[in-house]
Amino acid sequence: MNRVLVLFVLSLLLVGCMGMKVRVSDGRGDYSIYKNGSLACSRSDSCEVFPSGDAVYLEARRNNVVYSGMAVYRECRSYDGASGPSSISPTNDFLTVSVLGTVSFASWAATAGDCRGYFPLEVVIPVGLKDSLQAKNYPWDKPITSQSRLH
Amino acid sequence: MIRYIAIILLLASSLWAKKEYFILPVQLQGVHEDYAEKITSLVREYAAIDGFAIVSKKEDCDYLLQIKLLREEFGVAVIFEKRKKNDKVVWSYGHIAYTPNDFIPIVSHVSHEIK
Repeated sequence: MNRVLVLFVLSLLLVGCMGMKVRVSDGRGDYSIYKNGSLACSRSDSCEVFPSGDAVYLEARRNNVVYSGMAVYRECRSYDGASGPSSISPTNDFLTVSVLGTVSFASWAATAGDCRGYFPLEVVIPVGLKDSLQAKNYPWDKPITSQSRLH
Repeated sequence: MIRYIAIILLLASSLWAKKEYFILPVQLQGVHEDYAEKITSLVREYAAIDGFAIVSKKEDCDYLLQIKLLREEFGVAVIFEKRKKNDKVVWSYGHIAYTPNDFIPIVSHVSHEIK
């Protein structure tokens, strides 16, 4: 009984502390990921950050050059009671069932009747232009023409 | 009493004096010199907005500003370095630009940081 109580309290504390996987849209792994200006991951192909507060600013950098940045906010989700964790696999292990049960209850308790919000489990930082050919073919080595002049 | 106030004001004047920058020749790699002129003129515009000065003589400046435009596979890496007069880099910032229009937010950010 004491063990179940400890697990229940622990799961309440851990809800909302899940990591957020981060990757970049061009699929490269050689970016560094910065969270709120500080280095979070040295590579972008296996990056998980643990955001706090209501928002986090992520940047993808390579060789100290910022390639892209984006703000990520908590998603506002309300608990409808019908949804919940996927079915618990049958098991004879009482401890496993207790843990899964307390985590489920803790998740419900954290969101029931209120929109508390969570960060997404995964985000993709968009890098480059939608039309990558435009970015690749822009004539940077040619003089500025009237068509390419800044307005 | 007035003498002391004057001395204090004189010593404190450096706190609100405008920072003065000398822009070194832009380093280009695979980029036409027109873009060097474009980004330099943007820096001057934002200097006027954000309240720091661009001086024409190196000896009159507080800091040197080195701008680099380096061609990448996609776009150009725009790098700013704020240097002391002995060339030591005290602050730097780099951002990719996919078109020249991307210079504007980059210069705006840098200007805000170095003012």
